[in-house]
Amino acid sequence: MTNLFGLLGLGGRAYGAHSAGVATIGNNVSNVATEGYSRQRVDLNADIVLGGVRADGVYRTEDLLLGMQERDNASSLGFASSSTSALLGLDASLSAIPSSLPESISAFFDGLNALQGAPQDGNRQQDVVQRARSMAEGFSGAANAISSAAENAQLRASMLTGEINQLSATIAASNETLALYDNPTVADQRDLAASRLAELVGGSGRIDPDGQMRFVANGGAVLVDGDRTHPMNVTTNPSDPTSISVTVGSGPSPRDVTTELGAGQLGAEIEFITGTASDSMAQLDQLAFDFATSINAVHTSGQAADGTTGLPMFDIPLTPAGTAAAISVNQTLQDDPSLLATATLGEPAGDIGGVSSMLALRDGLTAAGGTRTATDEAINLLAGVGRLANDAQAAESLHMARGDMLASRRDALSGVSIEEEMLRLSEFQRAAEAASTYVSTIDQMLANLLATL
Amino acid sequence: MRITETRMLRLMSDRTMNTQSSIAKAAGQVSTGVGVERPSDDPVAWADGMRTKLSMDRRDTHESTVERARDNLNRTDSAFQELVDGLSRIRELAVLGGSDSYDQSGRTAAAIEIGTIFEGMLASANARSVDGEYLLAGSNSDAPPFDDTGAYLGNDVLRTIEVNDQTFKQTGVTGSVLTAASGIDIFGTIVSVQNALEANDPATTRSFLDDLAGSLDQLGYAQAETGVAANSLDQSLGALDELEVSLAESFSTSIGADPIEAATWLANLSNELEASRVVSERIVSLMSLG
Repeated sequence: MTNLFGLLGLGGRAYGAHSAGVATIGNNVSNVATEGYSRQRVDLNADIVLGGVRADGVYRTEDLLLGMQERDNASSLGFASSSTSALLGLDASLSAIPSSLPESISAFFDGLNALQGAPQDGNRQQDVVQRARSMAEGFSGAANAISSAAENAQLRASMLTGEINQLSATIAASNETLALYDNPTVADQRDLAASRLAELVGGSGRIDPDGQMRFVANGGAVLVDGDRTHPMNVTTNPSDPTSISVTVGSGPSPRDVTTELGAGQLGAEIEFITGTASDSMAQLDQLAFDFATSINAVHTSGQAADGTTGLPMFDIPLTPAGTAAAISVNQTLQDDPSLLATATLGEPAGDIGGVSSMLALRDGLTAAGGTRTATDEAINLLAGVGRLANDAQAAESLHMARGDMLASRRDALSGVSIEEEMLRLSEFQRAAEAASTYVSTIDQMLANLLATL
Repeated sequence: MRITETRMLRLMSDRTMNTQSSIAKAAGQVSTGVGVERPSDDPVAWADGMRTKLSMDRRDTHESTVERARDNLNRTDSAFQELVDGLSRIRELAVLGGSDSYDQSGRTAAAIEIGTIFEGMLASANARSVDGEYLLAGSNSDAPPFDDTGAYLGNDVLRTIEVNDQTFKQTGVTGSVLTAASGIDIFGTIVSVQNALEANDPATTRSFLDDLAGSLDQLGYAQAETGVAANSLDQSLGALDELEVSLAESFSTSIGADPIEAATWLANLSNELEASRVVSERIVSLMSLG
């Protein structure tokens, strides 16, 4: 049978439990705008030995599956966002070239069309050479735009690595703390770091039965295992903006994960550098090479007004690689546009066979392995980048919508509602007041008893 | 579903930002009339628009080239008219000089006048285009097609230019229409008439009257040929005018923004933004009360 001292202890525990509830609510309210914060609840249980209620600690409201879904979506969203950003940047750079590539190629042919009417007109010859120069500048401008975009992506990838390693360290430190004692705030921080890490590098953070988080990047490389981290390292080649190498782990043989990631912001940067930028540059180089080669072939089989055989109109490398950046108009032609081979070999100066043959290349399938005209291939190249950017934007919107949905679910489960907290605060205050009154009553009873004795 | 005030505020904030972004886009469409500015806006529409724009530029060049060729034909026609005028006067002088009632001094004066007309006709036959090319020289267009004696130094190569997408037309007439290759050597006949008059030989002078009449017919045929070529170019210009209208429509369809649609969109977005602002204020107010 419980005595008065036992009843006094019961009241004290009840008061302490409800005070802990008030403190937890205070903590919730003060963190109402803290990113990643999960509302906390005091764990109240019936004390079956001593009777009454007792506070067994504080727990956070969480859903492990939801957390994994959030990290998974963060990974996809990170990939889509970075892809969108990089592709829109490239799209904008290519569009910002004063005269776009298709326009400058077409303008060159327009100049030839005008030259047909008066092949010996010095102004028109000068105009054709100028248009050829503009076109060469269009190619080099596009090549520079692609190179710059790839260099920026390399820079972003290097910067991401620093943050990735820092987040891995945060998760490892949190694991170390949580192995010692349960702490909802540290668990929140770990979840937040894991979500951000997933956004940066893809992969997922799994919480093992021992409460430790193991973070594995896409492809299987382990970044965090308990309190240990495996650092990530990015290597770029300044002379080749379309190259990048990413490794995980220190020591003599780190794991090369360049082709494994495929998710998160870093995966998007790698994909952009080794995929879009590299492919676009190769396509541009091939276009420039094919175009210049076909024009040169016609021009060198024609004849200038002075009777000399045409010179190559464009100076280009021997192979397609690097042609777009290097293409230029023959300096001799620039100095003396009258050397344009406007006539057919052996014909008088007023003949326009040479001009007509060059003009015929406008509608000739000289690009993309003989399947497209040069202007169509240039349009296809730019539209291709636009298409990828468009697709990335759509994917970003999709993952943002999914992220919103998951955030709403998380909010429903773990968010802090001030209204709700105020109600619970009122409950705890009343309960604490009741416990206080109860303790006072027992105390009074004890005092009366002692006075009677 | 349980939803906290913070979440509501966040949703409204995102909504407001999205609406503001859309407003900027709609305002751009209203002010520029362009709905697709970059490939990423709509790759297919952009590619269509770019192809159409290049076709418009190409059409403009064709028009300019055809107009220049048309101008050359006008100059050629004028040159032929001057030749007709000169030849008509020479024929009159030959008729007079071939008459027995004309005396030697009259024939000498006629010969001198024919010499002057001959020089004028040579200048007309060596007429140049605005670009400085000799109109009747064929592809030898950098040198006068007729020498001082009226001998033809040009060739028969006519220029073929592109007048529309992969449509080509021959332009101009060569000086061979004035030579024996076309029937009568007109300048040679004039020289012969002049020589007969100088020699005070009315019979020989009379013998060239038929050739002079034939020369006028030959020039008339050359003028007609020039007219046919000019008419053909006029038809090309007409086709290019029609093409301009259809390309402009196509361009507008591809990348243009419907102004009424864009303005309506802008108005709706403005209302949406105002509604977002009011709701956000209400949420903040509720949070303050809490």
